[in-house]
Amino acid sequence: MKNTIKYLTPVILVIALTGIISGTNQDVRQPISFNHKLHTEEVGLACVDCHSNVEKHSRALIPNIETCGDCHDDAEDENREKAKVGSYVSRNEKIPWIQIHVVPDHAYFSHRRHVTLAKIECQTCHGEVSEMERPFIIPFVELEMSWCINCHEKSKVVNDCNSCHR
Amino acid sequence: MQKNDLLEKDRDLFYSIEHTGPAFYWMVGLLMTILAFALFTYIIQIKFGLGITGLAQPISWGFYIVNFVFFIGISHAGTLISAILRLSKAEWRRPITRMAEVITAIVLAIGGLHPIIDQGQPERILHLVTSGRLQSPLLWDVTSITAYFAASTVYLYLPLIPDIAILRDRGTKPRWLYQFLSWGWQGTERQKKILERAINILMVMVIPIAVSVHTVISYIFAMTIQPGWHSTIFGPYFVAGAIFSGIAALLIVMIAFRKVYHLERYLKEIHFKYLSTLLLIMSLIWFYFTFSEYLTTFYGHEPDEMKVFFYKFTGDFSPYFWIMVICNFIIPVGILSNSKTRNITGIFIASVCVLIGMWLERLIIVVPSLANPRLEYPTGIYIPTLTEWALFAGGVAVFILGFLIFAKYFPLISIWEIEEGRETSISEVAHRLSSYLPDDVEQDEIKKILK
Amino acid sequence: MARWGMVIDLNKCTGCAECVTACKVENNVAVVGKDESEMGRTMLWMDILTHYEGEYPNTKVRYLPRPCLQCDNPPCTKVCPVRATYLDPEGIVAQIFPQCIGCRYCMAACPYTVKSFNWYEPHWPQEMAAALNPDVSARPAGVVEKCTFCVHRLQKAKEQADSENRELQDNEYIPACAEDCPTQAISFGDLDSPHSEVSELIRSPRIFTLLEELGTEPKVYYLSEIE
Repeated sequence: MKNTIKYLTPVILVIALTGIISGTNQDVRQPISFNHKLHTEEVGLACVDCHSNVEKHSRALIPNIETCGDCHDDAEDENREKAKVGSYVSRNEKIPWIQIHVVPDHAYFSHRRHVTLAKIECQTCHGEVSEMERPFIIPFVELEMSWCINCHEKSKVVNDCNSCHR
Repeated sequence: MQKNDLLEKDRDLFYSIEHTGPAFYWMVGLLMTILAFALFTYIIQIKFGLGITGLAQPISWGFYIVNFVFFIGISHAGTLISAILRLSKAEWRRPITRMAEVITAIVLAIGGLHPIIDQGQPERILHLVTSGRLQSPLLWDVTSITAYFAASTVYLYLPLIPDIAILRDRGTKPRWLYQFLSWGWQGTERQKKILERAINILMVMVIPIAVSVHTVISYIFAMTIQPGWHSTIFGPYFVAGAIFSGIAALLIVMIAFRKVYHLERYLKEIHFKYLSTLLLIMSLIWFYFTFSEYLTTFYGHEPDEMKVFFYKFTGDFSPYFWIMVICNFIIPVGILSNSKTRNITGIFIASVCVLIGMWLERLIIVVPSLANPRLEYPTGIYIPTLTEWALFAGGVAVFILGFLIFAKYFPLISIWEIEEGRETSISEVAHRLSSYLPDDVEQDEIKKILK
Repeated sequence: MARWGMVIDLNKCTGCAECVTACKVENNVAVVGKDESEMGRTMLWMDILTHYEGEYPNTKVRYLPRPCLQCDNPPCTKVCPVRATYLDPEGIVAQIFPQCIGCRYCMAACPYTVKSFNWYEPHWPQEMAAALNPDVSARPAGVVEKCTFCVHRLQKAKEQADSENRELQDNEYIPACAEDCPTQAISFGDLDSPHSEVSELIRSPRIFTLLEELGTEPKVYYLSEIE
């Protein structure tokens, strides 16, 4: 009995460790190493300049390629990342961003309701994006129901299941 | 010296533990195969959804719920009968109580799993804990079945402790099991006193819990406003039916294991006679309830109720209905009220019939009400698929398997209670008798006659 | 707060089943196929019940569109063990799919038999799958579903009204069935608002509800046919 435990312990440890490592280090690689800080601080853009859907629609959506094309069109730029954008633009092809902040299918979240009507700052849910030099690979907050409910209870707004679950 | 005497006398009671023949392994193997097949079909059901059953709209409850009610019903055999017999100090209970309690524990576990099998999203079962609503009868069920399971397993275990200690002292293998489970039982006066008190408290507690369990199961149906379900007598009707099927199951188990493990010295004709009298009474009570239930419906003649009524009496379900009446009433009453046919074979046949009849009764309660919605919908016929049959067979297999395995490790008849009976019951009964009779009858006289 | 209700004029209803189709498309109700349908597993949030009267040749067929009746005293919400179905503050009987454990007790308790169960994972023909309504989730296997009065439309309408900083107006929120009915047999609105179409219609002497005697107090009313 004791021997079994002795031999099993390292095995269990190894399994647990691989679990932890593979769990944290998700190998998300965005197609372009997008620099939010550069765009906001040096270029002077506001969030909604590119994320223009946020104020007007329930779905925020990723800015489309035309938005990028307003500034980028040089596929031969010496900056490799800029060149990648340029080549997507010249081919008029969607950049295959990997969505990080995902709301499950059965829950509905309206950006307009939260940003335009409730006047909630982008940073509340997405963090200090303007300080980020790299694109998102993990969400700023785990989008769990308890997190939603917490805020809804604090700000005394509708808490009915029906208003988010459809 | 006493111990050796006892062991010699009650040799038969250790038979099932100490002799494991090939038949045992064959049986276990067979049951395991059935169980494995049931598990396999259940995995398929989880993978593809409940679509692989025969259920549809509007008949959205079928075999699983029927079996749930049926198995939980059988569980009333045990603890309730054993507690009532103990409480009423019936001397003949001694070789019966253990078996009855084992039935309860095993069948309750099987029955309790059925609602989960029936669930469309079994992984969400914890929602019952995190966001359960006490106003739903389903939650009453969860509560009362859990309580009953806890109480009846403890009620099975407590009187088992002295027997486990006997096995431990005999050096039966696996020793660690008996060492662990006997909880340091030495049979001292103090220990005996504590055990007796614990059993006394439990047996009083267990009776209302047992009654509540089946009442609450009936409430699942009775609390809705559906024709055929919305009935005030459903509580007692279900409890009576449960005790009825429970006694039948107990009798079958007693007859089978008496034969297999040669327990004829302990389970005598008289035990069967007494229990079958109870079965006969329950059959009459069942008929009385059924009669009242359907007469009220018929006399009131409400159209929606009558749709269900005729579906049972003359419609699609009439074969099941009339077989149920034959199995639950005509056959048992016919056999058991005649002293010529009231022998072991007769009782066995009657008990099997009652089990079939009671299962049909559950089917007849669940399906016809769903098959006859109030509005005009086209309704099909419910035909259970292989999955449902396999899981039913799996449930029965677990029951037999559980019993066999229990018998392999623990005595099916309470050894210490038999011993206690030998030592004390004569004087106890004499004492009790003398308290019944006029004062001029001497206690010693009765004792002499009894001996 | 509003109390949403519906009035179905049986005199105008032709039984064309446009409401059934509109509902199915709007709410991503699964298409189960012929075999399943024959087993009785058709999923319809809006169904049309047919009633035949008289002997041939003097027969008459009556049609009765049947959404969820959105009872004020719903037998289904009482029995739900996990609050996956409940009466929301505006009188809609909500059905929360991610909360449902699939016990089907509400189906058994509903005297109108309006609920459907997802016996399998729902699937659609490829062309339809691309056109699913993004405002309504596709349900997983093993949960109960039913008509919700197109509650997603209510949320949208409210959001629109809020963003224009005004109250919700009459006829701004209408379920798909009422919107698509070619004979305008289905009216929808706030029963508590004194001037809404529905609150005027329910004062009609032709008004009735289904299985009134059960005391479920449905908020879907019917106007009887004129002979």
